[in-house]
Amino acid sequence: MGEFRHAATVIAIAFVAMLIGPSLLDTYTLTVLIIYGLLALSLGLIWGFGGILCFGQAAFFGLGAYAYAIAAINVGESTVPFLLGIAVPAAFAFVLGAMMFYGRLSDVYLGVITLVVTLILFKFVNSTAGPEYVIGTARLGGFNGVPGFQTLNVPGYPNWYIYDRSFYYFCAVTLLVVYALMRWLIASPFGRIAVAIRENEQRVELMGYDVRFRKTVLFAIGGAIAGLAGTLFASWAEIVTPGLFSLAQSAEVIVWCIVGGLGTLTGPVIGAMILAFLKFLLGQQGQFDSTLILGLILVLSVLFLPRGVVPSIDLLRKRAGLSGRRTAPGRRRRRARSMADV
Amino acid sequence: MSSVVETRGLTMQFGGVTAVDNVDFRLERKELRCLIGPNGAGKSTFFKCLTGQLKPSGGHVFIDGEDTTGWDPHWIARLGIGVKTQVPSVMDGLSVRENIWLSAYRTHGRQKARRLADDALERLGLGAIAKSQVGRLSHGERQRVELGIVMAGEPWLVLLDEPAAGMTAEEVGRMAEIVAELNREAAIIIVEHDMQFIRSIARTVTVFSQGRILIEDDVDTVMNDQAVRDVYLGKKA
Repeated sequence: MGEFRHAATVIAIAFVAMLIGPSLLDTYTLTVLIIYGLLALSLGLIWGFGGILCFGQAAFFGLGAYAYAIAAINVGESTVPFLLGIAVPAAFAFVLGAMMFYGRLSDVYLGVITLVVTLILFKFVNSTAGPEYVIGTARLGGFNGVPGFQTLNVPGYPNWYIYDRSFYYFCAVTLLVVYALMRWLIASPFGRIAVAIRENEQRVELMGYDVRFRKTVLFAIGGAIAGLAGTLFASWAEIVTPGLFSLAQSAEVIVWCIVGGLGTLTGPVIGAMILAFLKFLLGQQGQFDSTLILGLILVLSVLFLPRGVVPSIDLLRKRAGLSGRRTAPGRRRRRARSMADV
Repeated sequence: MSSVVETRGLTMQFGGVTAVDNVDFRLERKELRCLIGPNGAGKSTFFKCLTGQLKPSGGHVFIDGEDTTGWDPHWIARLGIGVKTQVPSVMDGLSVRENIWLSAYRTHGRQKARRLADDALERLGLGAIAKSQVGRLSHGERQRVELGIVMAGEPWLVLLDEPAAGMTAEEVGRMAEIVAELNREAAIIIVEHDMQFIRSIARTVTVFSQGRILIEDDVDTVMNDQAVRDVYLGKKA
């Protein structure tokens, strides 16, 4: 099965990269790149495979981070907060998705609503500085954010913190596991139907599938993954602030997906890592404005690599393979594989 | 009742325009019926009221005795109905096989879907291009893929909106054979413009004009009817 071999190759390469990574860059930076990769993966899934352009993926990211932080202050051990950090945004995405898809909103309004929800969350959390905004023993803290919560620990052992290098490996393995799961999901009937909905919603409906429910579920899965990224981010930053809900964050996720390549899973992850790393590098110098340069990269990539980095590389590889050995059966099989499956 | 599709006083209004006006229609089990009429006669609107793509503003639709008025399309489809829309409605980014498989999977589950998909591919002569992406195929091939989607669901009622549109004469002939084959198991309603195609398959024809049924009779009687010639055939000649 070519599909399986392809996924295994990607995971093997990523695994090697994970081991080599720390010798090239400090794990603190690497970790946040991985977390951003996970966030991009969540949008890459629902946008690239479900055709749902969500302008508010940061809302689920922030919700995950806040859910984790608040629960961690109340519980003191990280296992339950970790799960809540996934479940809360997933449930929120499910309800929001149900409202949008059962309401038959068109794509434009879907974008507007997700954008507005992010803004509302940002405004709300920003204005919770007063002492009356308390959940359990945790104060929401408004623009100051929530600091001083229990970071990730080994389940059942609150004093065994997972931090630094072990946290890096934890995040990297999490990303790999999520990637593998999503590959499986996309290859499963559920995933094929999701792609079919992206391609032609009406047709899928006339086949007898409940399009609204399936889109809602996919949207919730995307929310869960973004929430997971937020949870990890909270543990990494050791503080959560309203900035997580910002429009800049939401826009950045979209840019990562576009540059990396939609319709693939590896594309958004790689796009996120490259761009976030560039931003990090540019942030260390003062000569150029970093947003200007990142904007330039977006424009150039849309002009010259309209399908994104990963699909373009894939295309190049196939062309090279084709001109080299036309008759090799393996190459042919690869060529026949639909481009949506990378 | 023995009729599989029945409408009573079906009406569809768009603002001040009445596209379908108080239509009473019946289709018997395993019957093949053609709907014809000039552009704007309300055929396609009527068709969409049957499939649930439009919610009628008045009247009732009964499918297999069940009042399906106002149901969502996927619920109506789940009764066992195969629908082919006017513009080939297929999933461009997926392979031919996947397109057809998805339909069979919905109705028959994973185990039977593979066999049904293979079966439909073979019957439609799509075997050689089963792995091709549908977006790269010709119009006629895409029409056949959509028929495959309909076929693989093993429907007992088939609704086809202009299946012969934009096809070559050879393809139209083939389409007629496929329709005849489908008709062995299923009742069929066809909305069509192509007179040659209608002559080759139809027995009973319903003529729409200005949202109403003008005449409903045997195909030869309809073709020779002066009123039909006036509203429709006369214009084409």
